[in-house]
Amino acid sequence: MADTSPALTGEKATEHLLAVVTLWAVSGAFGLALILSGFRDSAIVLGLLGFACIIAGFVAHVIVNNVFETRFSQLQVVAGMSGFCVAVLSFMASWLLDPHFDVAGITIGLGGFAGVILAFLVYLVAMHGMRGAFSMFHRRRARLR
Amino acid sequence: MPNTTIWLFAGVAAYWVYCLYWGVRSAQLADSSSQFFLADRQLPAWVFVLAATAASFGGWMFLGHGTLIFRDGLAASELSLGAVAIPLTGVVFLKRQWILGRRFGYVTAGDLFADYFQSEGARLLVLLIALVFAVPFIGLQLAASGDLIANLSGGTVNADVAMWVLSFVVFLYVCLGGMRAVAYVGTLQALLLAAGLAAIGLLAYGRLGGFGPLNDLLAKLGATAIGPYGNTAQGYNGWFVIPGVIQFTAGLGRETPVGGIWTAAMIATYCFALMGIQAGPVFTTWAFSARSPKGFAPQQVWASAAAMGLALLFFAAAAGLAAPFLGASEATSALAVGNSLTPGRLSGLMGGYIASLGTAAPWFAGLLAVCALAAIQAVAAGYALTTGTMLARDLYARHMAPDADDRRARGFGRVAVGAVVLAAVLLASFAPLSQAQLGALALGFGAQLWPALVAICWVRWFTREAVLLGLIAGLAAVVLTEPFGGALAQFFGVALPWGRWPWTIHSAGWGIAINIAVVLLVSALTQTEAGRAHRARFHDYLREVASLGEAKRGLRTVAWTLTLGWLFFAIGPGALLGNDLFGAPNAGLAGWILGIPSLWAWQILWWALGVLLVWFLAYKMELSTTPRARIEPVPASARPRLAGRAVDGAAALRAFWYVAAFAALLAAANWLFG
Repeated sequence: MADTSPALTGEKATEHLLAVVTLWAVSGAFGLALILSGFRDSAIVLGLLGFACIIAGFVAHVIVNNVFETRFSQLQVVAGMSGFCVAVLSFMASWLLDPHFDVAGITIGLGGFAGVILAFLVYLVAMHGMRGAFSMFHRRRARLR
Repeated sequence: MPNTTIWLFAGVAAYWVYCLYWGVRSAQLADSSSQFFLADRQLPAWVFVLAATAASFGGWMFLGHGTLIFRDGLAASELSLGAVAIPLTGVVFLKRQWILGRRFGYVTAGDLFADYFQSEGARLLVLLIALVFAVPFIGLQLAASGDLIANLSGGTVNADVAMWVLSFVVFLYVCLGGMRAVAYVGTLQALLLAAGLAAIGLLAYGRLGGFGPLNDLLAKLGATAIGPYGNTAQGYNGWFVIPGVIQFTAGLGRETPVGGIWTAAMIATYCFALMGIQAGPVFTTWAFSARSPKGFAPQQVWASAAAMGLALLFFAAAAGLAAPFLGASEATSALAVGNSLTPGRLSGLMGGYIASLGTAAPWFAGLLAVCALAAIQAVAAGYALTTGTMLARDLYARHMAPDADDRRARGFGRVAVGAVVLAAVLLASFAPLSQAQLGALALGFGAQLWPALVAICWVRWFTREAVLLGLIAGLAAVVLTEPFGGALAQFFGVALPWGRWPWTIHSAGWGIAINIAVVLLVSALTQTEAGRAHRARFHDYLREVASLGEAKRGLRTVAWTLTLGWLFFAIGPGALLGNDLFGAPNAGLAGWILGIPSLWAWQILWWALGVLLVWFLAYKMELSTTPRARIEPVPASARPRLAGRAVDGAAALRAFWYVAAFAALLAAANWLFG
């Protein structure tokens, strides 16, 4: 899933970075604000709309990569995975430790993270095919062993 | 420190990091004056689409439009159709300016005008227009940003301090990275502008319970005479209708029009003033900076007419229409379902909406404040850079230091950007009344360049003398139909018999009518063979590379008919049909055929048709498509001499005293009138 295509250079690299940073600045900021509002007000629609913004940012990033004929860089993959893990851990900690965490919050979290994972899987399958997507995890596990 | 303030500071800090990062990164690329002033004519299409849209709409639409609708009603919402009218100017001029810029190597609008009209006077007039447009306009916008921050921080931050700090950041990234930084940051600003407008509109819908309940309440209001204008002669609430085609009043300050200022004549001429935005020197620079015209059509059709039109008609309008029911007006308190809304002093209704999020969603208040700041700074940055560029090229390099090398020219460009921003914030801080008066001239002045651009891009018959005299007459007419002109006349002991915008015609309308009359008359009297031959050089080339293909020539009549029809029915006298075509304003929800007020439905209908019109002109009529032939730059020896003449020491000193005397005169005028 990380970059296997030739790295962009010069103005093209700058423009690609600009497009990526700009789209995440908007979708990330609005997504986070909506998710926070969803959890705070127990508003499922708002919370899920926030996750939809994050997924839209991911989809837009994939489109931008295609336009610039490149893929996710290692740094982007690490940043994305780390962000996702921190968010999941925060959600689980809140669920377990916060006595005021209600059903709406659980619905938002489970629904939203499921959506993000689904979007990611669809991306893998679309980019690498069903077999390729599974093989990717194989190869990774084999490398780790 | 309250939560809202913390989130506000966090959001603003993140936004600054983005701006400064792109400022520094662009500075690394800006190793020549061409890079600094024009991004080396290499702005990609998608960057142009977003950044030019932010520069066209910016803060005045974000903060001002909803406020205007709340204050003046649905007639003011007609200005939402400016989203279609503004790009019409771009459709007519941008591609042809880009072609001439490529062909002859122009950097500023002054270069283009001076070369085409063979007149240094034209260059200086354009510079004057740029300065009058930019300085007070930037000042007004930056003052609103300071007010917004002061409002949201609950007074923790002083409005003037906020304005100075925000202005410094704008100066920093523009000064570092030049056009590339302005355009790159503009991409985010455009998205934040659109997203912020949509969020505030949705907030308004949400507070009232949705689209249906908003119209329920509007129907109830329509059945009463509550509002600033009471009922019209037909028995309609004046807040819901356009008050006639024209009213022959003496002007604001002398005679108040019945039913409000927004007659069809005012709507048409105000929209024309808005069209001046893309006719101004700023957009000439945007056109010169583009890598190719590929971005022009998407910017005009999809980003401007479609997306911004949608945002203005459905979200900004909703914010304005919902405000009376959310506690923003005492007159409608009987119908109010909330009392959370208090419009800001300069940041208006939108500032009120953002502040109302307060403790409930402080992160959203912070984010929407950043959206507003981004919208404001998009305009400020663009105008500061372009005016700085013109000062550097048209004044410094042309008249003061024609031998200046590339490095010095770039350095002076940076100093000039600083001078423009400094002048704007000084005006906003210490002479707000003068700023408001000068700011009122901005839109009217910008529109006066229309005939000159028509001459350059389309009509070779217009002569230099005609265009220059027309421009001067038009500018004078704008001044005399604005408060600045009234105050100026009073200073000389003359009391003008009219006030602001007589006959409910905007100053831009008076200016353009007189401008065109002078241009036509003087052109008929000043035709010369030499002038015709000079102008033919430009028009023959434009005909060669940009004229319409043989197969489509027959569509010209269709294009004219559609355009004039749209102007008549959307923003002209025909818009009066919209007052009650889809149900009388007082007929209640059951009587509204489309379930919304008739005039709102009319505007939505003509917005949709307007998008089709701009699409037809931009793509089908090839007014914004890539030229058929590659644009070959003329050899350097055949290019106009852009470097200019050396000025001796005595002349420079004289020029200095002229400038000092002009500044002293302005200060005295402010002291006397302010």
